[in-house]
Amino acid sequence: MFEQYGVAVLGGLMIGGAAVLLLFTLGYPVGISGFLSKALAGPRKAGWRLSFLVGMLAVAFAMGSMRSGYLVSELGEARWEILLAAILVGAGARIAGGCTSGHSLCGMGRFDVDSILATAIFIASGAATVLALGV
Amino acid sequence: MKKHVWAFLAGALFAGGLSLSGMTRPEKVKGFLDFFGSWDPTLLIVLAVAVGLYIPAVVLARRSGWLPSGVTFVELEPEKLTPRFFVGSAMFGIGWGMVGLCPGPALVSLGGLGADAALFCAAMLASIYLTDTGLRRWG
Repeated sequence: MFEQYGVAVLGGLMIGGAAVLLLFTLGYPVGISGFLSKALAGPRKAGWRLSFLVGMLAVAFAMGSMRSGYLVSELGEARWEILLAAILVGAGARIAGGCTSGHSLCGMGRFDVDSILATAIFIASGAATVLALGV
Repeated sequence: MKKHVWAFLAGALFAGGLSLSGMTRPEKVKGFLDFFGSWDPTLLIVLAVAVGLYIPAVVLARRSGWLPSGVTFVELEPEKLTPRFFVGSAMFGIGWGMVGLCPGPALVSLGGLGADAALFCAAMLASIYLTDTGLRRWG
């Protein structure tokens, strides 16, 4: 029970806690696709967002080196599928004005109508895709 | 400088949370989206806990006097609900359902040193850049 849900609750607390931390120190919401967009536009435009991304990567490589089992080394899909999915995720997030962090966490946490709508569409179209292509 | 330190710490905590919650494991994400198969509620719990923590923080942060001096609550311009918005959201959901990664967990997956995650991130970054360029030119 703890293995499945307890760790997930802890993960949720950390995700929410990180968003609260950024809100109370910088006043900004977390939005990974937006941060990446700014980072690609140049480090001057990105500012502290670059540090947020570096912090993420630092933990990512630490987790990876611990071989904790939380990170996978293979995605289990054909290469063309990985490419196509990544293109859709990147373009979709920019066109929708945010991804899971900006819309589904912070936008919904602010009760923004556009974010609630975006999240509903993310989940509905994701579910339809899993239904069509299988898990 | 202080801003960078806080942002770094928030990013580190965020990435740790994404890993523990199962967001970096494609089979967990797809299990959550598999409503008509063997649905896995784990990520719904994660979302509920994270949003549940964020909501009261937003309520307090919007009141005057709660944020430290020098920090202002940044309001977001709501997205216009154009057909483009709906198409973009659906594109995102389809990609998410295909492989089971969204942008944050994709970045964290780089830590696993696998070629798949590197390919996903490279294509996602290129797509973000090209879409931004396109939206600036024709949007």
